[in-house]
Amino acid sequence: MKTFDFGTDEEEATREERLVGVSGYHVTSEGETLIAYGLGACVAIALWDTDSKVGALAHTLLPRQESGLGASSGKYVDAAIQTMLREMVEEGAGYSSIEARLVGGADIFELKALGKGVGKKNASVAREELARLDVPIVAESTGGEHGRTVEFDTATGRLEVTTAHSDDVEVL
Amino acid sequence: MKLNVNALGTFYEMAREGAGLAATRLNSMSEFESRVKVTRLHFTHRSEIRNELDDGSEKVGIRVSMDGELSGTSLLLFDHESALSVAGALVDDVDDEPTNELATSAIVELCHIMNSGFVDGWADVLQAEIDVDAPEYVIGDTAGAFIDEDEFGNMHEELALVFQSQIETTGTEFGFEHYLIPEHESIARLFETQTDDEGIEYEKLAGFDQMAQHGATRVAENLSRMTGIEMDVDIRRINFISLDAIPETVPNEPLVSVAFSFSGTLGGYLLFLFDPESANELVAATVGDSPGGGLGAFEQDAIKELSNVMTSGLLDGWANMLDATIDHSTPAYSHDMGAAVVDPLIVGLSEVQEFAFVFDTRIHAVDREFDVDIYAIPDETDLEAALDRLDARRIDESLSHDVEETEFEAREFDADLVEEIAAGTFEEVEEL
Repeated sequence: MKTFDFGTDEEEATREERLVGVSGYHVTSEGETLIAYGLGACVAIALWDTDSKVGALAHTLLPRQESGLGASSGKYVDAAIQTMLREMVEEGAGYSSIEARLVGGADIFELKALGKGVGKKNASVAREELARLDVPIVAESTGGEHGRTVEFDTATGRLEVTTAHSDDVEVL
Repeated sequence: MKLNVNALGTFYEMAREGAGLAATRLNSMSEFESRVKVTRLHFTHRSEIRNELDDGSEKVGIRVSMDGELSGTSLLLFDHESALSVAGALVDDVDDEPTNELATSAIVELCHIMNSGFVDGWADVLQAEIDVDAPEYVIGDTAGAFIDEDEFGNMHEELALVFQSQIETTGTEFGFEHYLIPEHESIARLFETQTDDEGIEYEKLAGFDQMAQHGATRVAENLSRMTGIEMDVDIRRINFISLDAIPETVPNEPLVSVAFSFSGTLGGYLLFLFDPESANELVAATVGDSPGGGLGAFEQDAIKELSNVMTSGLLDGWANMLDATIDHSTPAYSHDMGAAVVDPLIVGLSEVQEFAFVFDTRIHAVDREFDVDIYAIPDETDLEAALDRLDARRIDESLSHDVEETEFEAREFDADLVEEIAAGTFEEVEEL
């Protein structure tokens, strides 16, 4: 029988790819590729420090923390941006060289019960919050009526957006 | 016993964290990079559990009996190939069958370590003593290999509670499931200690599910009549799940979907999901092959109208049972990635709740590759209030008189309606 070092329970294995699920976020200085699948009205916020290569991705669901239940920082656009910026700086990022990209915020269904422009609201709050915190948005792929998947290579800063409707890859 | 949403939420989070711990331990012991794909707390008929374990594919793992303040059975099962891969990562010589002594010991030890983390998590949260028997190596392709008749007997017959987690690995096909199946009496005691007077009466939820089962069967029968394809209900269960986790339960591939909102005594969303081939087959069976072979405007309208008929059938059945009115919106169509079609509905509910009861039904064709998944996600507060009104006698009356069938037949699929919808001249209900 081989022997193993179990490490601590909290210890996570290092991986090259990491899925960021709904209401999740992840900050990394390890060059991982962060992936958020199937963004509909949700908005993915990608932050990247061009100097230190520290990157972060959030898969947000609601615009502001006051608008829903639950304490998960990744759930809310405003809280996710604040939390990721703080943790990026702790990881060695320089605040002034962090830039942002936004993906998602589509209106998939026309159902009145959902309210008009739920996705647009998420994207708009992201723009407001990033402007308030002096983080420039260098690119975005938002709105429309289609879902999107994001793959964000934090080693290079390359961010790819794919949809179910086209084989083309949009690079932001 | 009453099911309090906060207590259910605590149990759910505990199961999710326990599964995360199990995945971390798997990472530590092997070269696999695994993560929890989805954790479900679901209520299901015990025959469903039997069917799931009895699917003909060989599974390998451990069974652990628990006693004390939480009694029941914990099963950690790998599929055959994954068991071989895991055993190969742990010991040097593994042949085609995971049955040699070294491989068996490796699998038992790994599963035991993963399971201990899971059970420890439960004990911590409950501040309870849980006694765990020595793990027993199990291998087989029938339910009897994993759960004996006495254990089945200890579950609630109509609505057994099961905690189920799937773990997946990055870049590798990997099959792993963890089932925690508490004895009904044991979980009832736990809920009593965690729950005040508020909550959903377990027996009413069971009654509602019995009715929903009946409604699903009717939908399958009517779909058969409309399409000429023999349909059957494949899966029926009630998931209690974090809203955030719902997208992970949907296939990550393009799906044809039709969504409705409903309101009245019970509000929420209803979502029909078809893989594109099933959608095409459904259209072909009802209005003929589409000229382009794809889903153009006419075909989309046909799918919407069929879904509309199914929605009326389901919700009329619910309304009859609850002695209430439930209206629904006009259908909204999308053809997009599974997760992307679910997330707007989650956004809609997330402002008022963190968890949802999801009524999950799959209707499939008996002799061909065709199925439709139906997700009903009621507003949590409405569901509690609606079930509070539920009279057990009414369930029996409804079931014996098939009240909803009349309503359903009144909404038979009509190809002419599709033409009208396509022409923009048909307006059935005002959108909610």
